[in-house]
Amino acid sequence: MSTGAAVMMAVILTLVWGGFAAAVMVAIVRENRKKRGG
Amino acid sequence: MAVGTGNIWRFPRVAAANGGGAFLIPWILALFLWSIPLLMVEFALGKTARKGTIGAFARVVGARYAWMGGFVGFCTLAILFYYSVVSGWCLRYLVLAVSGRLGGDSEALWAAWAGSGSLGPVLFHGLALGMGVAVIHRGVVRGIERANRLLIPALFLLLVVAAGRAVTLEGAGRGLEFLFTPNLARLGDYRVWLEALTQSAWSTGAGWGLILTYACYMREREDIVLNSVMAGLGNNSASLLAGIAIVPTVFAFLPDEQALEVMGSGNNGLAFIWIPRLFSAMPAGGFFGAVFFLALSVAALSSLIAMLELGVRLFMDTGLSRGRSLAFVGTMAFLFGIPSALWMPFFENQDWVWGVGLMVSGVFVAFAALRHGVDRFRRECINGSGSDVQVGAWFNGVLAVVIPLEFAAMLGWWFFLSITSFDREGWWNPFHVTSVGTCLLQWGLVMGLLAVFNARLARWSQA
Repeated sequence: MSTGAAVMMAVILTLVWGGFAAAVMVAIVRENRKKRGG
Repeated sequence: MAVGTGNIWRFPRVAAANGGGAFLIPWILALFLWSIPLLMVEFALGKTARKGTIGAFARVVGARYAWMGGFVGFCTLAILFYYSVVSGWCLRYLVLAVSGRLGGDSEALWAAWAGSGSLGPVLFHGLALGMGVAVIHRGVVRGIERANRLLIPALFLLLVVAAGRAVTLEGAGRGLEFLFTPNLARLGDYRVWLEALTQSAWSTGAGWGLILTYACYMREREDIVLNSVMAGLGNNSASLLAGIAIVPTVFAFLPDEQALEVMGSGNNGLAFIWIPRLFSAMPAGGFFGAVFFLALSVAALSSLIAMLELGVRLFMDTGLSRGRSLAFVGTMAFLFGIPSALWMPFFENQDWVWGVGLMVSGVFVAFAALRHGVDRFRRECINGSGSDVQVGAWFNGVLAVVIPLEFAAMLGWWFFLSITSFDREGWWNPFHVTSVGTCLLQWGLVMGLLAVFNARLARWSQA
């Protein structure tokens, strides 16, 4: 695979999959905090 | 998280036909600068107004603008007419997979099926609609939602498995190269940008009015910003997985020249031809194929049910009973879907007109927030009660400047080039599949009718 394609793949996958994983983590943490807070 | 036909059937086809890597750049920009902000507005409109699309516009924006909500709703109904045809394809492929008839020449199988003029696609279109209507009529929507809790993650996992297998096929690297090489020259093509924005809206649901309708039932303490970001990014994650599963498979099975031809053709059957091929190259492929098409069918049916429900709500607002509204919407969807089931150019015309129509819907949704006062809308409706994550003032700029500019630039660029360069003879012709004229005529007819009945729509929707 060319360098351009590899860089693009890394950027896109990090942004989308990483962003989604981060958003899910934030949601889980906040939900747990809400539950603990009653 | 919604995973469905937008990710599996539409994304790989549209991305491949529009340059692969070049397409991904505007597609990502569209997610952050179009779809996610509009999802936030839809959530907030539904949560604030507690009404369907027409009622929400009449209540939040003003009675004079009820027709805009009507257009948003109609656009989704028009997509429903051909979406149920796609749902029928999924059901048909489920039957084939379960009966072990999916192996063999998948291209010939597809060619003999969709748009072949045979009655099979019409029957399966009717079957998909009938199932959707029955689920709503019998009030088992919750059962479907429970099934989805299992089947959507299953579909996601199967996509991971399929993508994993696809990238390990011999020759798959060339497919990945095609999918991710940023050929910047293609960014000078208006169609790449228009299709990227349309695909983002189609797949994430921005501008459909479905999120708005769903948000009518949201609890007060539910967060809008986080839900919108998760929905958008989750959806794009699934699209990328589907692209990684399908595009490298095509390159692994075909010589480069033919693979590039397949990629450029924009064949509606891309997923239906190559997913069976991919599973046939896996151990226990028959079983995985059947589970995959079962999950895809259920995902398609759940979107179909949401669209039917949106239509039912709209007609119930006119005073019709729920049963009659359901019968009316179901019958209308069946009749208007028949041409798409029989004739592929008609299907492609509807996918183009109402797919791009989502841009018009999207700009109407943005207008709703602008008319309300964009900063007030952000503070009161989005960042209001129940909001964990607050959206900053940048959101005002996106809604007031970026989204209207995107809309004007995309349509203006397309119209200008059509008229002056590549479609000088036929740009006005409403009978051409993807002409300017066919969009203007169909959007104009719908907007005109809705504008004529605006006062009545506004009154009905607030009843």
